[in-house]
Amino acid sequence: MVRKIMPIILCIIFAGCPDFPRIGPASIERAWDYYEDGKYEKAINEFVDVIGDEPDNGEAYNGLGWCYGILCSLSTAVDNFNTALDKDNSLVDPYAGLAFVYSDLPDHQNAVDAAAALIQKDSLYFFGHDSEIDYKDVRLVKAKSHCSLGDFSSALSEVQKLNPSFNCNVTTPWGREALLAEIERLGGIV
Amino acid sequence: MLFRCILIALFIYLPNVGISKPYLEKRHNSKKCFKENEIILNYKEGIERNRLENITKELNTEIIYRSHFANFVTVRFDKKRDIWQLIKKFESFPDIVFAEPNGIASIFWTPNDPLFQLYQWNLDESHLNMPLAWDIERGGNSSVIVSILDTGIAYENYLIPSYEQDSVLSSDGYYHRSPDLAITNFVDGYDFINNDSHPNDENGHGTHICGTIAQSTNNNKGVAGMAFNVSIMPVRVLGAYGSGTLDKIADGIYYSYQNGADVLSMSLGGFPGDSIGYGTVHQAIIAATNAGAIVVAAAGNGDVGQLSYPAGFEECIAVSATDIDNNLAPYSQWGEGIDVVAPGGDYFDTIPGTPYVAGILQSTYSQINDGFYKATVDTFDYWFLQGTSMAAPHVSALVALLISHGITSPSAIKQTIYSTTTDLGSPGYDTYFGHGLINPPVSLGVELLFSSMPIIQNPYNQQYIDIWVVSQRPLLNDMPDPCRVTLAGENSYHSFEKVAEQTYRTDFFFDTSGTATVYVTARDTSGTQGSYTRNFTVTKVIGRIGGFAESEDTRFRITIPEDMYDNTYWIVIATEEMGLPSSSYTPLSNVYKCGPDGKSINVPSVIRFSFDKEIFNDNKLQDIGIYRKNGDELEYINTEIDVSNGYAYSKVSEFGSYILILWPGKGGSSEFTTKGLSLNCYPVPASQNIFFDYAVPFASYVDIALYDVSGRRVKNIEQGAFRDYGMYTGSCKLDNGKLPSGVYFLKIILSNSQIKYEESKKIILMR
Repeated sequence: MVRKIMPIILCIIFAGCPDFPRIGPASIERAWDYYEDGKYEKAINEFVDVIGDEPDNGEAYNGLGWCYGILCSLSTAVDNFNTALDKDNSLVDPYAGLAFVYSDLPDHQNAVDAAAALIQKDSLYFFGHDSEIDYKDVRLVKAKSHCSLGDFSSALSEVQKLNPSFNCNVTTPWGREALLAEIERLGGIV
Repeated sequence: MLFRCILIALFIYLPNVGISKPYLEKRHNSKKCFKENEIILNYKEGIERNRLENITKELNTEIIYRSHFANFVTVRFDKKRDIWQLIKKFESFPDIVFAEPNGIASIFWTPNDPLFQLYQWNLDESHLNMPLAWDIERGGNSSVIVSILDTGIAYENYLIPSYEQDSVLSSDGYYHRSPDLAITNFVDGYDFINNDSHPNDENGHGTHICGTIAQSTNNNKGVAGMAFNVSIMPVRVLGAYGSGTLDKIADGIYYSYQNGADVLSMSLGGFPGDSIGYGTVHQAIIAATNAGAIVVAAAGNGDVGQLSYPAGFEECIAVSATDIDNNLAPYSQWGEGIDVVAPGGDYFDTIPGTPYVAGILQSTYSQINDGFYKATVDTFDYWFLQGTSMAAPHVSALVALLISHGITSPSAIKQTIYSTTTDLGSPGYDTYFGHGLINPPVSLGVELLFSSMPIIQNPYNQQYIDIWVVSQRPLLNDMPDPCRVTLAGENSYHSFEKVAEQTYRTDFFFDTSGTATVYVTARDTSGTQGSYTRNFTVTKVIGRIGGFAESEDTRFRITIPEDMYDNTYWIVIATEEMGLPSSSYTPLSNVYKCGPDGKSINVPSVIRFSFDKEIFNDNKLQDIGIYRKNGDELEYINTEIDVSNGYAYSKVSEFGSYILILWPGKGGSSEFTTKGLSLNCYPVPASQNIFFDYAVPFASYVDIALYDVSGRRVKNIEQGAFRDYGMYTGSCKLDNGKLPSGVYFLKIILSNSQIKYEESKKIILMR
C-alpha cells in the first residue's frame, strides 16, 4: 500500500515545489528544445543546470545568451555570449547573438565588430535553433549599425552583399537616402 | 551687399535642382527644373580622357561641356531616353563619382508692388512663399483662363447701363477698371444677373477675389496677385448685395467651361450642409470637370463642421481658411470633404509691426456694397478682407500656375496640390485642414525638404525602429525639429542626432499594437518649412494563435497563420504612393510594405486588397491583379478576385511590398470561388508538418481536424474558431512518434446558423 501511495506523494511534492532538484541529468538538447518552443525561462533553468554539471560548457552559455537576449536582458546576454566565447572559441553563434544584442542596446560599434567576426568565420551562417535567423540578418544589422555610426560606405558594401544590383553614391544626401531606403526595404518595416 | 546675398542664395539652391528620386521624378517629370537631356558627370581624378569618352559613347551620349576647373563634364542625349535610368547606368561605372541632371537656376525675383512686402503676409515665405514659386512659374500663362463666378469684376471703363444705375454710385456714370488691374489679362465674360456681356462688379467682392488671383503685378503699384499673367473671365452670377440664385450659377458654370475656362473659382455657397436645390449646379460642375476643368469652391464662413455647397461636392476642391499663424480661421467651416486650406485671414490678429488687421489685402472699391451703402464703382482702395472667399482664389491661382507649368490633367493637378501641402493639425489628412496648407513652390517643383523617411525595423528586437530623415537642402540650425510619434493615441517626441551632412536619425520603441504616425518638421536655411508624415500599423502577432495584420486604411490585410513556436512577433505595415499611373497600368491601391522584404513566412500567408468593385463596370476581372514590387520591378502574383465583394486575394510566402494594379492584357487573374472551401494540403507526402489553405465563403465557425482511415479523429487543429469571409492558411505539427505512417484525412467544417460546408483532403504521412 505504501509503495502505491509513495509515488503519488512524491508527485504532489514535486509538482508543488518547482525548486526541487531534478531527477536525471540536465541536457543541452532539452534546453534548446525549450528555446525552440519559446519556453525561455525553462530553457534558462536547463542551461544553468548544464553549466552546474559542466562549468566549461560554452554552448550552454551561448544558449543563455540567446535566451536573455530574446527576453531583453541585454547586458546579461552580452556577458553570457562573451563567456561562451571564452570557454569555446570555436563557437560562431555567440557572435551573431552579440551583433543582435549590441544592436538592440544600442552599441553600434560593438554590433559591427561582432557581425564582422561572425561573417569572417562563417559567411553563410544560419542559426540552428531558429531558421528565421541567418547571415542576412547579421549583415543587415551590420549595415544598419554602420549607418548609425555615419559609415555609409561600409553600409553600402554590406547592402550590396544582400542585393548586388543596388548602388548609390553615399557621399551625397540623396545617395544616403537611397541606401537607407534599401536597408528599410531589405530588413524592416517600411 | 545685396548682390552678394543673391549669389549666396544661388549657390545654396543650385546643387539641389533635379535630384534623383523616383517619387519626385514621376510627379515632376513635366517640370523644367533641369535640362531633360543633359547630365553632369563627376569623374574620378586621373581618369584618362579616352576612358571617359568611351563611357559616354557606350551609353550613346555626347560630351558638350568640359569644366575648366574641376573633374566634371556635361553630356547630352536623346530626349526620349529616361534621364534617371541613364544616371543609374553612369553611376555603375567605377570611374564616375556621381551623375546628376543639369539643373537650371535663375535670378530670384520679388515684385516691386510697394504693399506686397509690407502687408501681403499670405504670400510671404512663412505662408505661401510666392517669391520662390515665381522663380519657377512667374505669374503663369495668358492662355490659361480662370473664370471667377462672383459679383463681377471692375475690369473695364464702361457706361453704366440704365438698369444698373440704381445699384451703384459713380461720379461720372461709368464703371471703372481697377487701376491695379490695369495690365491684367481679361477674356470675354458674361453677366447672368442682367443678361448682358458686361459683367462689371456692383459689389466689390469679385474684384477683390480677382486681385488675389491676377492683380497686376510688378507694376510698381499696390499689391501683387499670384497668377498675374493668366487670363481672367469675369462671370457675374451674384447681385449687388452678394447673393444670387442657383440657376444663374449653374449657367455661369456651363458658360465658363464651354468658353474655354480651365479653372472655375467660386467663393460662394449656401448654408452649411444644405444641398437643397443644388442638383442643377452639381450637374453643371460634373459637366465642367468631365470637360477637364478644375472647380475650386470656398468651404463657407459658418464656423461649423460641415461644408457648404458647392464646396461639399466631391468634384470641387474645397478650401477652408487659415489665419496668419496657420491656425484654422475662427469663422472657417471644416468637415468631411475638405481638401486644402489657404490663407483667409482673421480680423482678430494684426500683421506684426503694423496696426493693420491680418486680413487678405487686395484692391477693390473704396466703398464695397455692405447692404447699407452702395458700391462706389469709380474709386478704389486697398482692403483687408477675411473669409474662405479670400482663401479659395489662392487655390484657383495655384491651379492656374500648375496648368501654365505643364501639368494639365485634372487628376494630376489635384494629386500634385494634395501631395505637396504643408501638413497642419493632426498628421496626415484631417477634416479641419484637409491635406494641409497649399504649398505653391513645392507644387511647382521646388524639391520637398524631405522626400522620404526611411524607418528601419530592428530584425531581432522587432519593437525597436530607427527613424531617418535626409533633407534635400541644408536645415536651419542643422537639425530637424524633434519628431512626433503618435501610437494608440499617445504622443511621444524624439530628438534627432546628426549622423552626416543633411542626414539625421532617431529611434522609437513601441510596445502596443495600433496605428503609428511619425511626423517631422524642419525649416531650410531660407526659412521654408518642410514636413513629412509617415503612417504605419503595428500589429502584435502571437505565433501560437496567429491572426492578421491590417493597414491603417484597412484596404490591405495579411493573414499570419499559427506558427510552429510560441514566438510573439510584430508586423508593421506601411504605405507609400506609387506616383502617377504609367501609360500602361493604373494603380488601384497604395504600395503596402509589410514585414522584412523577402523574408520567408513559415507558413504561406494570404494577402487581401479591398477595392471599389464598380471598376468592373469598365474593366475585365482578368486585368486586375496583385503585384509584388521589387525596386522598380512589378511581378504579377496569381490573384483571385471576388467580384461581388471587391476583394483580391493572393497567397504569398514572403514579406514584401504589394500593390493592386489594373493592367489590361497583363496577369490573368481568376474569380475567387465562393462555392466551396478549396482546401489544399501540402507537402505530399508529409513528414513533420502539414500546411493547408482554404477559402471561407461566408462568416462562420471553423472546425479542422485530422482523421485516420477508420474515421477516428486523431488530432484537433481548430475547434469553433470564428473566421470572417476570406482565404486562410494553417498548419499542423505531426507529433513525433504519436502518429504512425499511413493515410489520414484533413477535414474542415464551416458552419453558421444557416449553412454548413465540409471538405476533406487525403494526407500521406511518411516517417
